[in-house]
Amino acid sequence: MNNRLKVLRAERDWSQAELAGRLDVSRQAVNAIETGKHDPSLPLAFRISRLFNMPIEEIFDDKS
Amino acid sequence: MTVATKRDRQMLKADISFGLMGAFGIFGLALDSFDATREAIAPPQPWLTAAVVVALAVLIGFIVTKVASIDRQHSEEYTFQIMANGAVVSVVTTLFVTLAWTSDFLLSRWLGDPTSAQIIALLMASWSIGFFTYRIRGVGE
Repeated sequence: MNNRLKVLRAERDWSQAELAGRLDVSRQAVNAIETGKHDPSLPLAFRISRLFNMPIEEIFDDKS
Repeated sequence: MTVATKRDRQMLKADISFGLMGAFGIFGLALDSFDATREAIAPPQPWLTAAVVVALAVLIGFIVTKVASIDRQHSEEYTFQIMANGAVVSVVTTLFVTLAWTSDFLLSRWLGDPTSAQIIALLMASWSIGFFTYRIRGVGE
């Protein structure tokens, strides 16, 4: 699944660790999501959506 | 068949598989207590041994489940997912290697039967292999 997490994080000048802290997950989890090695659960996807104030489908794209 | 239906069937298959595995496990633990060919340290009391082993398995299983608190509130989902995937690899690997190892037609005639410590070591090693394989390869689509 493709996602724009890395771009959105870079726009805010956040490190992976900083984003991980805001999402209450590990830095490895953020890295795995950014590199497409892990698809987040629905609760985590909602947390990401709320953090960036964007709908989930604007962050994640399942048409890969 | 829709994707949802396939997923539902996968879940049902997992439920049935784990149900059968639990039943066979408890049955096997109890049945093994009646194995008269094994050397017993204490005088054999098959029914007591069976009852204690099954009760211990159920009790420890519940305690570990409670203490581990493996749910979304308490576990980091990415870590938990690769741990869980690794555990599946570990269980299946241990099952098949032990079957091959204890079979007279396969490895037992050359290696002898595995000790319980070797089986535990096999379980831990294969869990580690599974964990790091998923860690490197990822668990996404």
